Amino acid sequence: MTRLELNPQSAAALNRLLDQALDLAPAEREQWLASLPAEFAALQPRLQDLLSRAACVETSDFLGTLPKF
Amino acid sequence: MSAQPTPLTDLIRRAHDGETGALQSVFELTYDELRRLARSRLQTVQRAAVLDTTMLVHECYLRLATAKKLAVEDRVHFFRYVGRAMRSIIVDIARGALRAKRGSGDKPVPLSTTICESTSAGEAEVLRVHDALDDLAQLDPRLVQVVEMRYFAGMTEADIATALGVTDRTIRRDWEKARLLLARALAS
Repeated sequence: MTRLELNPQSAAALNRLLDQALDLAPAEREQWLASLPAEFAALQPRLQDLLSRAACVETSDFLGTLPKF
Repeated sequence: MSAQPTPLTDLIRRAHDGETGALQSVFELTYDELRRLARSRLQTVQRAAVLDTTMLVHECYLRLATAKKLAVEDRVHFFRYVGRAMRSIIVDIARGALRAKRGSGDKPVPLSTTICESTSAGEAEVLRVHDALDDLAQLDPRLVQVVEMRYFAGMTEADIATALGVTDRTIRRDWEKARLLLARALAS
């Protein structure tokens, strides 16, 4: 499992940046990522990875219901 | 109808304020109803629509209210509590199911782990989501509450918003963020 492994400041920044990105249309997110200030460079790959999953999560109804067992 | 808080209502409030002993007492008083709710959610044959699953939560609440364990006015307090409790119960059920499939005591452990793993995907998903929630709490503890209420308890966005005192839109955003983070955590 991929752990988050972020300090509190970076976690807060990731949370804030993710909100900003999700306010944008999917087509605008690539450019937004590319224009992130240098101070967020360490978070950029993680944001890219998260945003790349958005369409799949939505169309597959990821975690939309509990598995049956 | 009396607005006087019932003992359970008072306990839920104290548990919400972080009193550990109160939480344990609430858990014991509601355990049978919540376990029945968990079983209903886990065993529904068709892929349950959100409407169906949230009805189960309402029914559970009404049974507790009818049994005079909970005041009708305290629906919101119950909804705040039910996600956390359902997570605990469902994780226990998943662990128990895995133990049963893998065998215990005198029962031999299956030699083919492939078969075991292929029939335990549901339990594994539940346990991986449970583990990954610690990471979500680092970003925002409310993300954890939303996953508990939405995924584990099957509540609607509207009920979750009411319980947490925020807008439906906030809950939709939290759920969107939580699912992205969980998709990444569960992918590897």
